[in-house]
Amino acid sequence: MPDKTYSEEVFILILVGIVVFLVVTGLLVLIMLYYQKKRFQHKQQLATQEKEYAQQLLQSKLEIQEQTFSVISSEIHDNVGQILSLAKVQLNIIDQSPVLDKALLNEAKESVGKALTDLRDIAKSLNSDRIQQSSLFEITQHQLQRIERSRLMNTSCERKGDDINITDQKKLIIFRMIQESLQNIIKHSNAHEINLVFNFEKDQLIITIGDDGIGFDPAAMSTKDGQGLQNIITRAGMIGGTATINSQPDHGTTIIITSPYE
Amino acid sequence: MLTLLQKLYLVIVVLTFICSLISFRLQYPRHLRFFSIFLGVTVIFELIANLFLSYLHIGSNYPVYNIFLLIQFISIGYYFRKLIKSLQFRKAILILMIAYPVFWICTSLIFYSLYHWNSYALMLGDLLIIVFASRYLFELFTGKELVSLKKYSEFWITIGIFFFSCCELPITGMLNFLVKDWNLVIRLSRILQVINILMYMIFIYAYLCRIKPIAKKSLS
Repeated sequence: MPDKTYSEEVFILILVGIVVFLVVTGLLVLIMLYYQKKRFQHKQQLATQEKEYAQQLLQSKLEIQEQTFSVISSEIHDNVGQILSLAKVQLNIIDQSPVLDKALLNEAKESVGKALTDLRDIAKSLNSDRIQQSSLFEITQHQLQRIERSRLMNTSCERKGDDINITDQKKLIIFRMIQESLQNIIKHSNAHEINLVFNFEKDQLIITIGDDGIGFDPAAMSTKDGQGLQNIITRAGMIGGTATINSQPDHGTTIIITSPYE
Repeated sequence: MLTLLQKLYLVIVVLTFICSLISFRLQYPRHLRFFSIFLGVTVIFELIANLFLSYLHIGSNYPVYNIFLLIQFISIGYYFRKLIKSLQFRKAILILMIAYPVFWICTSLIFYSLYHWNSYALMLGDLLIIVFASRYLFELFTGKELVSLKKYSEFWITIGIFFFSCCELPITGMLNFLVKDWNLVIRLSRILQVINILMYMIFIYAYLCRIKPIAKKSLS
């Protein structure tokens, strides 16, 4: 006859073992369900981020286009239009003059030639692949040349380090941030000089946009007024970088944009 | 005479098989349909072991369960082979699916007889099934594919198998040593039956959780 206490011990031992297995299995299920929930949340977050990024990209493209059209419109009106009007006047004078004025004809030729060159420039800027084909530094330089040509202010663009390629999407967003900064300077700063520095560091690009304008107090800025600057900060975050705006009344403004290359 | 627990157990097993048939109607993946067939085989074996043998006054149902051990291992092995993604592991399962019957024949027919409870085959089978289930759960846990586990039949079936095998291993593995105390064996077999019921209930959930609720049509 087996010992009753021994049997009881075996029974309890097995029972405890089963309870332990039950708890372990339960815990396993709970951990897996919790972990899966976290993964779903993370995936959803990533999808939202990607959607926002795509939206920002599209928005940047549209804004760049809008800006380009606006510049083209004013360039055609103020520049090409003026030159062609001048050429027309010169040709009219030549037409009405009984003697052929060679010098005036040459001037008219030069005017038409300049208008042609300007139109070519405009045509180039209309090309949507321009941003993809050129480096960020080059397209920014081109943008600054336009400002310089308008004789609104002096500009300088400096490059430190070797030009490192940035993905097209990032390039587009960074360029839009630069464009927005320049637009702000032209509209609000009353500056005489714009200085841009592209610092190609080992793991990130640092762009410094400075002006000698009237500056402002960032703390006193209303949400509506600071929408453009807020856009710059948001976009910098989207590409995994940062945007810092330093400004003081009467001491100009400096915007520092950082962005990783990948 | 069957006890109430045994009757309940048989009802649950049959119910599980009936629920699993939905896998054919709703075109579940092949491994789930296969598992449903395995549940059908289980029903047949359980009915033979619990009902027919007692009506036929055949004393031991060990041969039925010993044969079932072999079918169970091969079926569950095949099920996990379909689920596990690691090629090496799948190869290993295939080899074990061939090696296990050899081991079973040696232990059940050569060394012992079918009328002797084959605890070696059971322990080895359960151990391997626990390893397969653990591997699958690991792959599910670390895999890139995201699935809603709450509605993932494969996960719940694996959990049921894992839990049952973990509990069955010590009880039935030690059956030959405990058989001297028949009272203890009966008490343990009752516990095992409760665990079995729990496992089949998990299987029922596994087959029903996939069903998508039908949206009520608005009357217009």
